[in-house]
Amino acid sequence: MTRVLRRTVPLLLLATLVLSANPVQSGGRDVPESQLPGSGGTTSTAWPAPCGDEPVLVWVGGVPYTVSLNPDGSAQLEPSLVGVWDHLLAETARLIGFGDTVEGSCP
Amino acid sequence: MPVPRPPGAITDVPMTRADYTDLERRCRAAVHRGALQESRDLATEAAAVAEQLADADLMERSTTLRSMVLLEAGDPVAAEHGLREVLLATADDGTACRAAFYLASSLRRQGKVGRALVFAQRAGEKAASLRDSVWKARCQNLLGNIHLNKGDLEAADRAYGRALKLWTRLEGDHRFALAIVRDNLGYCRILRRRFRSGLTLLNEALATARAIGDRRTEAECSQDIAHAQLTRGQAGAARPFALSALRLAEEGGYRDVLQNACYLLGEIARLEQHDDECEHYFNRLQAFFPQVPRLREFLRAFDISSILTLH
Repeated sequence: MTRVLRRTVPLLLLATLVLSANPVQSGGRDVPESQLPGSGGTTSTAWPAPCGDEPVLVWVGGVPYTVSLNPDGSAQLEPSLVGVWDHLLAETARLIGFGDTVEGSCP
Repeated sequence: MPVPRPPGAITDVPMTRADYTDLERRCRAAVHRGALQESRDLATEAAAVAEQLADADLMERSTTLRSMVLLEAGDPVAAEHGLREVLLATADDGTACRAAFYLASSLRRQGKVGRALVFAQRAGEKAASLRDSVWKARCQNLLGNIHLNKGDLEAADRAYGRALKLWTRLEGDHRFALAIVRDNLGYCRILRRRFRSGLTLLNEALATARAIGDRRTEAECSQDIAHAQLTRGQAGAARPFALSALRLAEEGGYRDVLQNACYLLGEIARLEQHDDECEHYFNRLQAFFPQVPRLREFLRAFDISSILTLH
């Protein structure tokens, strides 16, 4: 994943700047409204159960994860793949050696 | 039948609800062609007509129309403005569905996926009560995007699949929506490393976008095919698609696609050891992020292509 590091790059400064900038991009495109009216169809839709409270972003080994609370009170941990810049942050964090312990923050 | 006026041509002539409806229709048509500036002008004009008529219903509709245009233009923060008020004030299920949908879309694109999910579910409930399959499909696609943002690729795949199924069952011409959903599902499959089905979907989406003249979706599909080829280690095959995405993004002012295309072209050039070209594209990307002055050096030092996600 990494290649030869150019030592001239001040990584700590870079990490600070990147983390503060946090230029996250979205994933996937939503469909804007059509010129066509709704069809009035009756297809049923199954909706997923509510995920509970706002997910919390945590860093584990330099990789971002979101922790969501399930309705039954249990928690689930999922890799956070919200954009290239998140991975850039994760990689930066891993390289400068922090994030080896879980640190949580509310988005 | 109202007489079409050029954008920005609000005059002292009394307007009617038919004028508003015509502007709204033309605004949506401009979005479908990827003509963002034209759609912005028409949304502004529609809002002015709604205000001149002092019609609460039309003002609510013009707020959701404006949000749709701003979301297409890549400005989710501005798009959020006014939607909560519409959601609280409106008694109309259709308007409530719209407001909840665009609010969810705006929050999702700001990284607030938990709140986005709440409003996406509310939009879905309104769509169900309206018994409107188009809105149901739109909401399923939105849910897919939210799952993708959360990194739950399997759930995203399932939601996109439901959206695709709903749209393919509908009568009428839904190619605009189908191209977007196939692009999303194809991209999701690539992230799951299911390259064959992913590339098939992406190429179908690209062909559809070209057939209907939707340049925005054409740009996104081209970008995603370039990403897929890069992920497969086929930098040479990725290049023409990345260049096509760049050209379309420049012509249409699609800032997000432009950033992604600059990254992809920089990475392709790096892999092919074209140092000057690599420098050129990472310099262009750097210009988008003046607050991160070492981004260019970072990207030249580290290969993040195997772990990135686009859009």
